[in-house]
Amino acid sequence: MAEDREIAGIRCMQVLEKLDDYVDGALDATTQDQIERHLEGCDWCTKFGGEYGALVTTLRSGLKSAAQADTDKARDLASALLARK
Amino acid sequence: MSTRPTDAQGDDELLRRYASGDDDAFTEFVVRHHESVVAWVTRRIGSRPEVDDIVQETFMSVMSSASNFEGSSTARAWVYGIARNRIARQFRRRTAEPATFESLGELGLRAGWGDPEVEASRAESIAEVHRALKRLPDDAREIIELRDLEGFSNPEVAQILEMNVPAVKSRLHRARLALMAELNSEVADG
Repeated sequence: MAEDREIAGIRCMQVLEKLDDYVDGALDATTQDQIERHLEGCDWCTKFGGEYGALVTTLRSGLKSAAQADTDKARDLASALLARK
Repeated sequence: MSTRPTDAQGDDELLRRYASGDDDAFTEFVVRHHESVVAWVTRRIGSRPEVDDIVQETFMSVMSSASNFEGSSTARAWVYGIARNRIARQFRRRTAEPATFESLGELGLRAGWGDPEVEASRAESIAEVHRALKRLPDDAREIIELRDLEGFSNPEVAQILEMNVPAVKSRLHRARLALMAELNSEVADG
């Protein structure tokens, strides 16, 4: 198990807590910079954060693109529902 | 970073037009969302005969509630929320909080955080990730599916799951760590 090290004014555990927002680019500039400086000095967080980011990227690589809809089936359903009004 | 199969403003406009009596707008709305709702309901409950009924009831509810759509989130999220409630009603699923609680630190450790032995830059295939995803508890799987596979934003997921955004972020973070832990255990088991 890793030590919970403080680097660049932020501890490993705090980096773990903010990892989602870091991956999503949802952090304010100051915190983003602080985490990046932590990562520069922390091989554990760099490795784990890299894996975490890679997992999210893999998940999202299957993100649905504009699907070619089965419009006939959808239109049939809409017609049936409208007919019941 | 979501990929949108439809334009959100266009959805709002379609619902407004339908509420004003334009049936073609409803048809267009169904055409836009039918396939993704079918796919999502199927992912949630599997390929079962009830899928068609749930989808039909979902759009029936859209039809009867279009005039009440407030636009507080996107119409797409609203439709998924309706479908989710239909699934819960059909299968009497509990949609409440997870049964077990593990601290973030403990979960992180199981996911490999701070483990110098963990394999660096392990690249899982989509198939491996999806297999591991299926082994997660339903609440964890659902939030990853909505956020990462369906591409909803945190506020949209919050609307669908009837939670607040901080709770969504917390549950999502834990779910992703649980998924990493599941992948780690797969490697450890060989």
